[in-house]
Amino acid sequence: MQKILKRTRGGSLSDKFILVILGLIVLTYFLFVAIPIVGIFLKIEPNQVSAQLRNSAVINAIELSLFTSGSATLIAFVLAVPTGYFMATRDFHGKAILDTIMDLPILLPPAVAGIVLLYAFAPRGLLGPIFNRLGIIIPGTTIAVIIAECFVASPFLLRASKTGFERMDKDIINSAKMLSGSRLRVFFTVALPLALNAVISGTIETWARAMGEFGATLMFAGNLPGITQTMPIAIYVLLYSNPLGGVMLAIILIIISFSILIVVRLLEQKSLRIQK
Amino acid sequence: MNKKILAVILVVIVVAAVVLGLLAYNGTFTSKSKPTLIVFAASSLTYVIANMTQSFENANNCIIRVNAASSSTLETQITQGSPCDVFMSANIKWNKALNSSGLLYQNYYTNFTKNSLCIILATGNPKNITSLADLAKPGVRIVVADPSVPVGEYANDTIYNIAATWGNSTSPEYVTSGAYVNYPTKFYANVVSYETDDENIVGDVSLNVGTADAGIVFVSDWAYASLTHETVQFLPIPSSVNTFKSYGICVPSEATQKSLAETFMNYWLSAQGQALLTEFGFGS
Repeated sequence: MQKILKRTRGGSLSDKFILVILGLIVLTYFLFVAIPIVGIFLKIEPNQVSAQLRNSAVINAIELSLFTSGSATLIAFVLAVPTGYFMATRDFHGKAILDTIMDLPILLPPAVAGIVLLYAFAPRGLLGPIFNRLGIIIPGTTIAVIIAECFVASPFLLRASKTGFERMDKDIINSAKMLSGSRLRVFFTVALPLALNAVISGTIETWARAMGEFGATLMFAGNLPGITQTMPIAIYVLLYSNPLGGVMLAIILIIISFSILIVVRLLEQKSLRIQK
Repeated sequence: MNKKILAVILVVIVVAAVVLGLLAYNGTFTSKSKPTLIVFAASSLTYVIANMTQSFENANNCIIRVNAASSSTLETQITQGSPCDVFMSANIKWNKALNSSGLLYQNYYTNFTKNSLCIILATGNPKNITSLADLAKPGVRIVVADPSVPVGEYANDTIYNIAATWGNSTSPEYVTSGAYVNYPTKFYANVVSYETDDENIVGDVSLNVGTADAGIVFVSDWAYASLTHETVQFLPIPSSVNTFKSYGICVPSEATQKSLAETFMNYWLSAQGQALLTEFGFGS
C-alpha cells in the first residue's frame, strides 16, 4: 500500500484516497470469487478423495467432458474463425442482421437452446427426415453433446476473431495480397498471426463455456451416464444422491479449468514480455 | 514467433483432449453385441430401477441405459423423436399425451404404480415441525417443486385438499382450532424455492446449509432414505388429504427394442416388480 501511495507523484490526498478505495474494491471482488471456490475444497476429506476418484460416474463424466468440450472447441474454431475473418473484412447488405443472428446463442437461456436444437435436429424435427434417411439419430448420443456445446460456445470465438481481424492494419493485409496472390496464404501467414491474441482468448472462452454447458446438453442430448452425462450434469445429479461424489467432481472441474487457464495465461504473458 | 508457439501449444492441448476422448470412447462408439434398452425414467424412479438393472441385464443379455429427468422434459424429448424404448413417467398424463399424438407402440400405456407425498425435515428439525399446521407458521422455510413438475403439482393439490377439508368450516373434517384456515396463502408465503425436480428438494433440505426447514417430497424418498439408513426425518401426510397420482409406463412407437421393451414393462407390472416398488415406497 505504501509503495502504491509513494508512486503517485505529487498526488493529492484525494488521489491517494481513491487508490485506497480501488484497493478495497479489488480485495472485495477477489474475496467474492475466491471464498466460494476455496470453500468447496474444504468440503471433502483427503482420505475420501481416492474412493470418489474410482467412482465410475465420476470418471465417465470427466472423460466425456474433456472429449466433448475439446471437440466442440475444435469445430467452433473451424467454423467461427473464418466467419469472423469474412465479417471483419467485408461489408455487405444485411451484415448487421447476420451479426445479430450469429450472436443469439449467447443470449438464449441454455434450456431454450436445448429445445431449439431438439426442434431442429431430432428425428421429428425440422431436419429430422434428412437425418433419418441417412440413418443418423442425434439426440441421446455424444455427438448431440458436442453439437449443444458448440452451439452455445462458438459465438465467443466468432466475436473474438471478428474483433481481432477488424483491428488488423489493413495496409499490411493489402501489401501482403499484392505480394502474394494467394488469399489462403495471406490468411494463414499474415492475418491470423496479427489477430492471434484475440483468437486465442476467444478459444479459451469458448472451451470454458463448452465445459460448463448444462441446460442445452440436458435437453438435447439427455442424461445418459457415460454417453451424455457431462461433468456439470453429473455434479447436479450427484450433489443430491452422492454429495461427496458431486463435491469431488466440482473440485476436479475447478482444478482442470484452473490448470488449462493458468498455462495459457503464463504463456501469453511470457510471449508479451519477450516481445517488449 | 512466440505467439505461434502459444497457438501451437493450444492446438496440441485441444487435439490431445479429443484424442484421449476418442481412445476412451472406443467402446461406446462401436456397436455392441448386446442390444441396448434405452429407458426414459422420472427422477423419482432412479433408485428402484438401479436396484433391478443388473439382474435384468443378466437375465436378458442386454444393456440398460437410463435417461433420468423430469417427466415433462422426457415427454418433450420423445415427442421430438429422441430414441427411447420405455418411458416411465411420474404422471400418467404424459404417457396419455404421447398417445394422443399417436406416438405409442400399439397405442398402449398403463398405470404401474402410485406415489404419494410426505414431509421431509431438515436435520434436527430446527423449527420443531410436528404437523402440517406447523408448516403454515410464519418463519418456516419450505421447499416445494414447481407446479409444472409432478411432485409440485401433487403438493399443490394436497395443499388445496387441506383447505377444502380441514380448513373449510362447512366440511365435516373441519379442524375446529382453525389452524388450516387460509392454508394455501400461509403455506405458499413460506415457500422459499420452487424446484424443478423432486431430488432437488430432498437435496435442498438434507444439504443442511440452513436454506430450508422442510419440503414436500414423495413417500418413495422416505423409503429410500430408510433403506440407505439416512438420518433425515420425515412426517407422513394423512391419506384423507394426500394426493395419490398414477405413474405411467409405455413403449414409444419408435422403440428399436420393442420385445425387450415389453419384457421390461411387464417386469414392472408383475408381482416381482410390484413388490420391488412397494419396497421402495411406491404404491401405497
